[in-house]
Amino acid sequence: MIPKELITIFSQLRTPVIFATYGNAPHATPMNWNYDKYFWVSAAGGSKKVQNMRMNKKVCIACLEGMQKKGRGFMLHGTIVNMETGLLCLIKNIFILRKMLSNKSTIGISLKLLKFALIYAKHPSVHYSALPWKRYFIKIQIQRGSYWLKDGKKKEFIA
Amino acid sequence: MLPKEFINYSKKFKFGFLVTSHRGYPLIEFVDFKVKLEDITINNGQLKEGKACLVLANDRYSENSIMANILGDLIKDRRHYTLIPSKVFWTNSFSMNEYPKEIINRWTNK
Repeated sequence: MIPKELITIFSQLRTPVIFATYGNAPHATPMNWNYDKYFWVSAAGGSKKVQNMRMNKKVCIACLEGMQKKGRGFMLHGTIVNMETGLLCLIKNIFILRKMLSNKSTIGISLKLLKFALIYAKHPSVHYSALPWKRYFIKIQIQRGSYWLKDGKKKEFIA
Repeated sequence: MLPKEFINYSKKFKFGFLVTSHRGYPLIEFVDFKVKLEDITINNGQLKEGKACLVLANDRYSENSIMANILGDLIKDRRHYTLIPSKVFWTNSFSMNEYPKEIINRWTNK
């Protein structure tokens, strides 16, 4: 079971997570996310993390409120239960994407982003580089982890 | 060697997320770091030597996100660790109304 305290933290934090994978080498970047019974992230198609996740389904997710060391946060270990891409997948998961963008960042879905997506799709110099229909939707089963509130006291759990 | 431009960029971040592996799982540690031209000194943590990745990030996503990713080999050096970088990339924030010139220049120069 995921502790209720942690589910409350999931609903309140708006900071991106650091999402780590390990294939032949480690890779991690900040990611937008959402928790809805499963933990969701959405990765750019063809990216290093997608390559890693095809080799190794084990992932590590860390979050610190406001990217401040004294903030609330969590560190989770989990396994990918499903990863999909394509236009149908985008349509199926559009509400999850909308929640990721509107609840966990300062930007909602904006058609203006498409202008940038077209040019940045092949270049990683801006951290929002995937065409929406090429994004992967990744569903993660959390297995264990730890979290801490503002008092800094760390609590561990096994799901 | 790390680009001088990156050394200035790295000063925007107070700490980093270091990724190593343990029993097939990626493992994240919060670390303090100091970037030099030749390598990066990691000042805390009980880490495993080998391939590692240091991520620096701000608290935003999308157009306001800035982040860096440094891949390299982590070596224990007495009381601290040294990350010998082999690959580095970093990103910039952008306006919703125009392409950032800095990015376009880097893109067209390649």
